[in-house]
Parts: sequence; structure tokens; C-alpha cells
Amino acid sequence: MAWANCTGTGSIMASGPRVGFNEAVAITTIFLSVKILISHLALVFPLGLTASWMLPLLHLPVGLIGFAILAWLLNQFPGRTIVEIGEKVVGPVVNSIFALVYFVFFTFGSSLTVRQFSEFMLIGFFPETPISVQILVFMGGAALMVYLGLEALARVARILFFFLGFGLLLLLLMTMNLWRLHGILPLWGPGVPDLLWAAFCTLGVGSEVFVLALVTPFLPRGRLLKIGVVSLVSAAVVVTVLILVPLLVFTYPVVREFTLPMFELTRAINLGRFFVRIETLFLPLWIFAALVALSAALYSATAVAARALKLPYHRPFILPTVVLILAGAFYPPNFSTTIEWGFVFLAQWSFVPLGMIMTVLVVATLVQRRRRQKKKKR
Amino acid sequence: MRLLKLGFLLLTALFLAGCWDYQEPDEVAWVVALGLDRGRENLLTVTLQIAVAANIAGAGGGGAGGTERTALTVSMDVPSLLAATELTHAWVNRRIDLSHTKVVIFGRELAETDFSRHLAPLVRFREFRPTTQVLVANGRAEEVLRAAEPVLETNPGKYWELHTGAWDTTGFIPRNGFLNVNIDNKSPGAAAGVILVGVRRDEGGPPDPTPKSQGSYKAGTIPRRGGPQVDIMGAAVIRNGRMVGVLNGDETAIMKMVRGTFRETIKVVPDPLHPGQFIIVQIFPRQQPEVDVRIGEDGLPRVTARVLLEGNIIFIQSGEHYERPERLRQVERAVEENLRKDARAALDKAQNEFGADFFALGYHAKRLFPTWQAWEDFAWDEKFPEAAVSIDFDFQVRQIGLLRETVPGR
Repeated sequence: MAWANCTGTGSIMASGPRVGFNEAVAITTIFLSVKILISHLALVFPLGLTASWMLPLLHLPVGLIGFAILAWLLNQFPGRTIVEIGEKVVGPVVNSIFALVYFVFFTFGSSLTVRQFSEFMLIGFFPETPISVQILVFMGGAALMVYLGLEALARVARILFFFLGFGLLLLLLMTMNLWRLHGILPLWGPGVPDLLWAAFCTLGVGSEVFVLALVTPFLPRGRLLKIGVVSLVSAAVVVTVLILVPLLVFTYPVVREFTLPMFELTRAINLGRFFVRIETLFLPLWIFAALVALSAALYSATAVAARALKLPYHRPFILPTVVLILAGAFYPPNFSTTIEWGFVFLAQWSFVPLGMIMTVLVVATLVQRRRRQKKKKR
Repeated sequence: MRLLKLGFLLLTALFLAGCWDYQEPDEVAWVVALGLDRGRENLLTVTLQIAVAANIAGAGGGGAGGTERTALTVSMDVPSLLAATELTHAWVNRRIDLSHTKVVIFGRELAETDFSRHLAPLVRFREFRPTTQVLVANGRAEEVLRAAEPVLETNPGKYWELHTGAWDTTGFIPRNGFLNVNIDNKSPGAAAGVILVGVRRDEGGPPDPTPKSQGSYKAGTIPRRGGPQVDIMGAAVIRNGRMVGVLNGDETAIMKMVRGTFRETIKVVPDPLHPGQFIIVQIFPRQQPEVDVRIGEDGLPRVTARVLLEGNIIFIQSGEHYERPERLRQVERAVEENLRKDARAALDKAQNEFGADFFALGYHAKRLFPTWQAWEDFAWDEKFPEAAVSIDFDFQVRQIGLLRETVPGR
């Protein structure tokens, strides 16, 4: 079977899953971009105003540099994930704290994401269905996907990648008759300094690329950097376009009113008397994107737990992690709070602990290398 | 085992349709039109036009002709629109649903004071759609909805869709669905022009057979006898969240031409060589209007709008041989001069009467400002009445119809 089996020492068994270049790019790009489909956008527009579409382009260079550093670190320890690297570099005690941070990032991030997707379904499509049922259905799907293993998840992501891409393209093209070019004017929105500050405050939007640090051993050898770069660039392009189009259709300041700008976009489609009311056509788009992203997060959380506890399989952690995610999903008292927490946790602050851990690991690796070099010289 | 799995999967499919969100269409009352007026016994009078689906389905063929009513109209005094949808259940046995509402009509009195206050909150309600048309009644919305009985259609929803959708075949109906109205209403740099609807006048004015443009009227003032009770013509101008005035059909066409939403109109132009006789042309846009905005040294905007049109000669009453290539320019000049006259009237209303930029010229000025704050600080809407605005037209004749020349009758 193709689930993520790993030994306690961190070396990967020969029968481990294999994730190809395209699969890795698909899963990472979807994971990075999915928040744009929920209410994340609602809090982006008040920051970037008419220039909100520039934010992903400003995030991109920082993300590429950050990932280049992460890739360098991972390449120093071939065949190991970030959890095992941490154990080797900073020891089991400190690394257990690091692993806890990764685990919290993926589980609580999933909680806020699944809650937002479920609220989205509640608002848009199934107003009478209890939210608990909607969350359970999403997490049930994700759990099944993760149970089938990383390879199955990666292949599903690759297949859906094209459907999602086509769906989004269709959505954007169907709104072309509603585009108003003045929607992105004045060009610099809040002004260059405020725009740069907004980009800095939301650097966490790229944190999901961290998933690659947990699947590195299963990726094609020597292609990690390329996978990360292609994923980040693809996600930046997708997110830029998905911010640009609501701006062109609704224009600022109206666009900042909406809780779910992308859903509102589907409701605005008006091509003659027949091509209206077609938001249900895009329902699979939201559901498939959510399922892939939630599965990637659930897999990452279970993989972190398995590797931190030196267990060979991640499957035993699926159910407990799902329970934790469900508990986290029901914790925010309302949708408004969920949106705020989701933005603060995923877009604003996630890069701080993850960035600090990376810095510690990189510095520790460099120090250890220098020590080894000195020993050799002696 | 495989059969068991398949059976389990098929069983789960039963639950996919959902137990909570199922809705039988014949258990729902579909509201096709909504009217909002200042209330008599409460804050608002809300009028609902509800489709009688059974009669629509029974009529068949898409045409009217049956005697059964296809719409039920009911008014009630309530504190808010959504309170009305609940109150309706007191006498309607089906669940009220607004997701097929085609039009929301504001009574003039309400629009003149509280248009935005009652329109803006609708966006939050999931059943309300951005594709819904917003209209202002030249009187009470309640009267319009009571009078609006589809004659050519059996389906009242289709009636409203086709009626408001005629913006692309006439100049005198604005193209302004809810989305456009909401944007113009909330963005600096434009005022909204909302479709004007009215109940046909019962009595004609004093006899006056002098020639008048067909676009010189507004909804509810068109001199006609017979036909449906409701007119749609002209626009209600909304500024700062309330209605500030009304445009007639010709002024509405100019608004659409400058905004770039104009598609087609028929213009009756005085013959330059034969007073009292007319040339009739069909006009289309040639390309999007060219609008140039600059800020003068006095800090006021200088706007030059050039509307590029083309069209076909469809009637020359005098029989003058304007069809010849060397004489087409005479027709073009006559059309341009006629449009300039309409534009002067529209501009006068925009700047001097309403103080409202319903041409949305401000949107063209946004590019001059680097930041949103700078654009807001400029206060376009306050400076617009003092702006130097010129609207010019460039009309070219494309076709002369099926006649190359007119041979005079003997």
C-alpha cells in the first residue's frame, strides 16, 4: 500500500509512496491557493484596496527566497522530512516543540478552513443543512483520502488540478462582460508604503508550501526546489487573477462588502437570459478544492505526528486528528470570528513560528557543519 | 463483498439529495417582483407580485391568451422588506421565496428620501441576486405592480425580464441592474441612473400636434391608448443615496452613449433642407466613447467626451437624394447636431439641476490619482457641477437601406 510508512530513524522504506513532479505541484498549488475561494479575500481587499491584486506578486519573491532556504535545509539531509531533520539538528526535546507547532499549524488551519467552507455551503447552497453535517462530510472525505495514502491523494490532486483550472478559467471568462477597468484604479491603492506593509503583514499566505517539507522523501530526487518554485509561481498567478477579477467586476469599495467574493462572482454571471443562476455549476469546484486542501493538511498533520512519535504509519493518527480538527472547527462562536481567526492565523501569523523554526534549524545546521569541518581539519 | 460495497455506496446516494434542503417547487410561492413604498400604517408598504405557477404551466406555448391570472399581487404595511416575506405566510400557504425576483421597484416618494437605506441591505440576503433589476416608479410602486399584468406573456417573470432587458434595443431604457446601481451608488465618481417605470396616464393633455421626439417622454407620460398599463422609459437619477430627478428617453440615451452602454436607437432628425420633414436613422455605437479627463490649473476637471456612432438611413420623408456618397455628410451633420442638442439638455440637468455625474465621467478620472485617498480627497462629486464638460458626437452613415434614391411621386 502506498501510505506514508516511515521508520523511527527517519529513513524511508523502499515501498514508500512516490509522488511525481506534477502531482507535487498540483497538491501544493491547490493547498496554497484554496483560501482565496473562502473568506480570506474579504479581508484582503480592505488592506490592498484597488491594488489588492498586487499583494500576491509582492509575496512571491519573499516566498521564493524562503522556500529556497527551506529546500537548501532539506537537501542537506536527503531522505528525511523536516521533523527528522529537527530531531537530528536540535535534539528530541526541542524538536518535539517544533513538531507540535507544525501539528497545530496544520490541524487548527484545517479547522478554520473546514469551518469556512462549511459556512460557505450553508450560506450559498444548503441553508437548512446543519453545519455539523457539512463539516463531517468534508472531514469524512478528507479522512478517506488520507487513509488511502499520499500517493492516492497526489494523483487525485493532479487530476482535479486541470478540472479546477478549467473551472476557474470558465468562471473568469463568464464574467468578462462585467469587467470594469476602473475597478483597479487608482493603481496604487492605499499607496506604496501601505501596500508593502500589507504584503508584509500577510506573508503567512505562503506557509502551506511547508507541506513539501513533509513529503520530500517521496518526491523525485533533486527536484524539490523546482517543485517549490513552480508551485509558488503557479499559486501566485492563480491568486493574483482571482483577486483581480472580483475587483474588475464589483470594483472597490463595493468588493470589500462581500463575505465570499468568489461565490458572489458566480452569482453575478449574467450572459443573456439563459446563463444566469449558474452558481451550482461551480459547486464541484469549491468542494473538490476544499477536499484536496483539507486532505493535504490532514495528511501533513498525521505525518508530523507519526514521525515525531517515531511510528511507521500515519493511519492510526487519522481519527484522533480529525477529532481535533472538528473540535477546532466548532470552537469559533460564529462565522465572522472564524473569518477573522482564519486570516490572522493562516495569513498573518503562521509565518512567524514557522519562520523562526526554519531560522533555528538553518543556523543549527550551519553551526554543526562548521564544527564538523573544524574537526576534520584537526 | 464487492456487491455489499456497491450496495452501501448506492444506499449513501439516497442521502446525497439532502434531507434538510429539499424544496418542492409546487410548495413555494415565487415572488417575481417586489415593490417598496413609504408606508401608510407602518414604515414601508411592501408589494409582492407572486407567480401563479399552475396557470403559467397550464397556458403553454409561451403566449398569453388564457383568462386565468398568472400573478397574484399583494401589499402590506411592515417595518422592513423581509418582515413582509414572513407576514405573507399569514395568508399564503406556500413558503415565500425571493430567489426568482426579477425586479425591485421603489416608489418615487421613498426613492427621494431613502433609496440606499432600503436597497443596500438586500445584498446580504442570499435569496436576493445581483442580476435583479432595480426600478423607480414615477409614482407608487404598489400601483405599478397592480397595473402590471403581462399581456404578451403568461409568465410574469419573463415579462419583467424582457421588458427591462429591452435596454439593448432602445435608447430610452438604462442598462442598470442591481450590480451597476450598487456600484454607482457606493463609488465616488458617478451617480446611478435607474430604470423609470410608470402607470400609463389616463387622459391626454391638450391637443398639440407639433413634432416631438419619441424620446422626449418619461414613463407614465407617453401619449398612447390601449395596450398594457405600465411604461418603462427614462431614468431616475440617484445621488448620495436618494433620487434627485428624472431623465427623459432622449437624455437617457445620451447617458448610455457616454457611459458606453448604448446599443441601438432610432432617431428622428429634422431634414436640414426641408423644414417640417424628417430623416429617420437607426444608430449604433461604432466603438467605445473616448473620454479624456484632465484637472485644470484651477483644480477643476476638464472633460472631453467623444461618442463614436454609426447608423443606417431608414427613411427620408422629403425624397431628397441624401443617399449619394457626397451628400451623406449632410445627414451625418444633422444627426450630430440633434444629438448635441440632447446632450446639452442632459448635461444641463447633470451639472445645474441634479449636481450628479450620471455619465460616470468620474470613473475616467480615477487614473489621474495614484492612491485611493488622493482620489477621495479630490471630491469628484462635489467638483463635477463646476467641471468644464464637452460632449461631442461623430456619426457615420453605414447603410442606406434598400433604396439607392427616391423617385418623387407624380
